[in-house]
Amino acid sequence: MTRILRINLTRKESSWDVIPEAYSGMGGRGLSSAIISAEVPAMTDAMGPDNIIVLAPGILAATTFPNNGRLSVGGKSPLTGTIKEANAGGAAAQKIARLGIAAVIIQGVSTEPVTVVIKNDEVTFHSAASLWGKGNFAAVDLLKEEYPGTALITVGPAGEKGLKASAIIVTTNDYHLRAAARGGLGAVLGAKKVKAVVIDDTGGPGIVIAEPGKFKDASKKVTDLILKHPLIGGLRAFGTPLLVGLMNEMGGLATKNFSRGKFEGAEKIGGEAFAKVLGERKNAAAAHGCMRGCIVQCSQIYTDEQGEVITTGLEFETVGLAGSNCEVDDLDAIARFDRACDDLGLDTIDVACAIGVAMEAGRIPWGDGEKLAEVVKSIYTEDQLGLLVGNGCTATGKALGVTRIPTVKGQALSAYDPRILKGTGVTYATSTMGADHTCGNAIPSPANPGYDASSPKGQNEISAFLQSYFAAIDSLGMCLFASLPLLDAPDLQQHLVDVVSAKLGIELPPGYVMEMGRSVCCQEREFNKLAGFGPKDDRLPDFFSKERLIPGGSLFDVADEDLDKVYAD
Amino acid sequence: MTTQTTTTVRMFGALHTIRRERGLEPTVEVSIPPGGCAACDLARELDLPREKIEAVFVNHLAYSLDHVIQPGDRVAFVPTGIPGPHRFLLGIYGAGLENKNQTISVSSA
Ligand code: SF4
Repeated sequence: MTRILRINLTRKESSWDVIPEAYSGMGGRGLSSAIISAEVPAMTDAMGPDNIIVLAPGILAATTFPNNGRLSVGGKSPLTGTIKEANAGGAAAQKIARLGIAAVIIQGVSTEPVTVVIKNDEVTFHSAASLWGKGNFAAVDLLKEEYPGTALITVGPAGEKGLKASAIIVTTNDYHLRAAARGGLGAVLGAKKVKAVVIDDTGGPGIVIAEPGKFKDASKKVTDLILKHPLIGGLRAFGTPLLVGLMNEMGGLATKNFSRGKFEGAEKIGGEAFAKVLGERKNAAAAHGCMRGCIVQCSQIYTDEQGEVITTGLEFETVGLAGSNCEVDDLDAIARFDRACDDLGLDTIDVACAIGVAMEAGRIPWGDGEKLAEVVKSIYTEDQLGLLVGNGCTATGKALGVTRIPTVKGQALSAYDPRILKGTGVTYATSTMGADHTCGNAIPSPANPGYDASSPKGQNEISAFLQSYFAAIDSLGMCLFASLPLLDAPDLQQHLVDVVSAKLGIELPPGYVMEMGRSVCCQEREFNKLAGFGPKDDRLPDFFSKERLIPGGSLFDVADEDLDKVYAD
Repeated sequence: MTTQTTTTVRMFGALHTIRRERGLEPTVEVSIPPGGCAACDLARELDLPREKIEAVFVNHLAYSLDHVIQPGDRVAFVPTGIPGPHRFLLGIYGAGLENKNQTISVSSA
């Protein structure tokens, strides 16, 4: 990947530049955050013309390395006001990489709705007037007919309306939808009047591997070891909803707007129930890959009783937050909520948390599963409550006078209660992205197998380790799930360094992965500092340290000094 | 006079599947003797393949299989093969290590 494609929407121009030396060897989140730091004034209005959207495949994209196709989408977040990277699977990253592009930078504002088509050496702009207002499913159906074999990146009605929990949608090779969901970047692309970006990699130069033999050997070692790891079978059979039962058993499953850690209906929405539904229904599939070369296949195809696809890629976070956290024990209702969010182009985490808050305010009855999708769909008709939840949990809580708002830096927590998982709590508090479990879901260092998730001590070290590790994984473009076995085995991490060395043709030190990740986080932190964020923003909402979790009575009691140590040097 | 207290035992993931395939419930009530019984003995009684068990939750905390279960405890067997970070996160990693150091031989199947 040797070039940067810059698209100016205001002038309807594009330029292909050789990648500057400063960005060489970078990819994914690291490259996206470096470009944003260099080009976006930290105090700028995220919805204004000076913000940009970066689309960056990872360093290993489109190689034979497993699970390499996460697309990093970056910009300044209108939800948090911080720098933002949200990533998604699908086909786009690998196609962008095969065009030889390290990053696409979208800047300026179009005066009318536009579809941007990127081909080898050519960018064209087409009116999207007939697509504007359409949901993502309908828009993708039309676009895939017009541009067969391409990858599509789209914005739904929520992004068009500037709602701050809007996602950017990326299609898989079989045109299912995935979301770069967090932080409202769909609203940024919508404000630029971009409905779709089409990636056609026909005739592209392909990718370059500096040392193909070495790359193949090291890559095969990683692949074999991942495939042997026991977690692969679990993810394939049950998806991430497997965690519902386990988190419930621990007493840390977000329930009733984070007032409890156990949900009576957990068995009805857990991975085991989920697998049963998928096993019984026509056209359903328990294992599905969202990108070429996925060897884990944690996604699934979830159908209704008639065999019609409701959604694909239903995750623990959505099941927990739209399920237990809203006291909903109906998997089909949760799946329909997931579909509605994909269609409108919304982050299921922020919107489900917002609905939990609206339930606490008495605006929606607890446990009303049918209301989940109904509220989201009401955004089409600009219903007030729909628009409110579309703007995320913080906006909803403030507007409805709720004091227990489970967000950090304006972004909603996932379904892991931080009073039980205190390392994850530290990540929620201190990550550069606002509350985001994918930045460091409290995995202790392999050198620290005696990790106690409930102790307030030492969680800053665990979280700092994880935040660096996952920033590196996001920069490689690797799917987080395939990266997990590497945490079990230090020799796998060395193979990963060997893979990157062979790809780039430079000798990298053994500590490369962690050092690279740390520097990505620090650069992002610097942007946030310039945007006005400081230690006072690295805190969980008060109620987590004041209200005892039921059952068990835990509090989030990690000391503020420990939170401040995560990025102390 | 001794009163019999029943203990609820849950089985997750692959263990849940194994029970279902055998036509058995994945959540059962068992009676534990007053002096308690080791989790590995309970697993044997339930005919759960030990190499497929990562750890056991007892009253919301993860333990290795030599942990003694008392009457009235809340028990859940956790399979191998749940997402990696969470194995550490749930405290299962350490418990699993203890198991490995003791007796478990991991099946290659
Ligand atoms: S493991 Fe899941 S999220 Fe990752 S690439 Fe495969 S299907 Fe996509």
